[in-house]
Amino acid sequence: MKRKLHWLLMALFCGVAVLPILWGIRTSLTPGPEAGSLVPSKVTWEHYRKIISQGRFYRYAANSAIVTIGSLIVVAPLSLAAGYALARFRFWGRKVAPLLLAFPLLPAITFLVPLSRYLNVLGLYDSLPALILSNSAFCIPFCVWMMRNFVHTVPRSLEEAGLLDGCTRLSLLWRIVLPCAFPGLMAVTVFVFVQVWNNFIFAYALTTNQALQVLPKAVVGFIGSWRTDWGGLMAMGVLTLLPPVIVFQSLQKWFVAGMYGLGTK
Amino acid sequence: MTDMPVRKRQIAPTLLFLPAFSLLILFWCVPLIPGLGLAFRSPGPEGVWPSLINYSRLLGELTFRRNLLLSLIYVVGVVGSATPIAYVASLLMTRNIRSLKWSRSLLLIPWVVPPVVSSLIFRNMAWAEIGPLTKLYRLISGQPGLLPLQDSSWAMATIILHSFWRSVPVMTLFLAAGIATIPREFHEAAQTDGATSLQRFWHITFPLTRMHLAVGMLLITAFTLQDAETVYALTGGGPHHGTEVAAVRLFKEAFDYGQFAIAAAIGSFLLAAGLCFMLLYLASFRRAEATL
Repeated sequence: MKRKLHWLLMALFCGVAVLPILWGIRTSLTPGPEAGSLVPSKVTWEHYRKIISQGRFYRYAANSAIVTIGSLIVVAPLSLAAGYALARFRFWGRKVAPLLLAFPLLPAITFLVPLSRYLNVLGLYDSLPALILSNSAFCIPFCVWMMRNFVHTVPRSLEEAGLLDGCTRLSLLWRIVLPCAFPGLMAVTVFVFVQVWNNFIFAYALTTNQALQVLPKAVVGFIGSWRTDWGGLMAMGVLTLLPPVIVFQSLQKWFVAGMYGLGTK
Repeated sequence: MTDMPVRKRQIAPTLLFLPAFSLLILFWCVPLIPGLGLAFRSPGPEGVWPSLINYSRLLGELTFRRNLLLSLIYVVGVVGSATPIAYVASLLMTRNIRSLKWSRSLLLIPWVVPPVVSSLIFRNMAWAEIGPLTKLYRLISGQPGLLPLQDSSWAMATIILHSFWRSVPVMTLFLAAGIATIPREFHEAAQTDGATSLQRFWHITFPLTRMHLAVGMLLITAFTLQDAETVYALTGGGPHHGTEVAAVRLFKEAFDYGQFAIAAAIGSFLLAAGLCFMLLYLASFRRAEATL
């Protein structure tokens, strides 16, 4: 009885979590603006067809992919190295680490104007590397923290054995810590992918060139030009939300383990 | 815990740590300083510096006071609604019932969806005649002709509802992580002593997760206060500035109207709040470490 109640309550929570997404999908499959039920009376793929027949869409998707993967390439090794240092050595970094973690509490939007001027001075304003660097800086504190926690779960004895066998520190990191901290890298991948792919404000503030738009910015751009074309807007939205949802669903157990600060069994 | 054999003044940890650290310093801290200076420059191409004109303008404005009030309503609304629901969900999630395993991946979906996309979905749901939220609001309010996004209070309710929907998953995961750190033996011991599940919650789970609860609420508060994008995409701050929280005001001043000095002045208020959150967070961190 009690168990059934728990199950029902959880089903309710999950229902509420998923329902808006289903509504978005429904709207993207409905021919015109149509009031009524969750299931549309007529299903059409025309909105999707219209979007994927445009070359722009592929450019935006490619930009999103470049920025996301670029940030991953920056964040993953840096956070592994810093996380390893924090987990294994007693040094000044341990004193600043809590500060690092508290940094994202400062509002990102207050940095946008100075950041855009600063990037302008560096000659990076209005470019994809600007987005990669800003997004990476935004993600790095939490990723370092997750990696630190994962390295903690790697038994020291493994490393000591490696040292005895004549490994250098670097090859230790490469041959022993990296394979053991693999779940940590997966957790970092999920976090970075979701944060960077979904990011709108950096793209809005730091790029103006139409050719450099990423998907979330392109979606918002649709409001102005296609005011009432909800079907097209939602189809674009669904195409934008698919990649992070797929990545998250396939790697989520690592990420949850990262949040818990424990290794998975 | 044992650390690596320490040689005096070893350079390895610094070398490993520095790249990540300098990325943060270079792209967060360095731009911050000229950004603060901007708030004290009078607007226009040949602005005077230093000047308090932006502050006197803002503080003399009714709109800005309204921006701050709306920010407060927004934050209190989201934290107040998301916290209890997330607590219940996290208790359910940590019950280790096999049949609940599936729930995790579904429950976390709102966090994964791009904020602007979910905002636009909610915008659609509260849109004129076609949205399910419109119907729901009309039922609740008893006004058959209600247009939620044309009405300040219902538009406000919609942005709170949307951020509530996005915040619950993260908060749940965070609280569940806290609950998972409680040793099983505590509950088993209490159970053998005949404690009911309510008693166990009140005397074991709740006191031991108080810190997680506080930090979770702090995080949601900080993120909601600085959230401009979801409100911008959902209502654009309208109708008639009715949902224009301080963060959206900043965003529009800077990127729609090019009023960088005013934006920086608004930003300094948000930054001050952010610094308070940061200090609270660090204090809780120290306390958590002291109790370990």
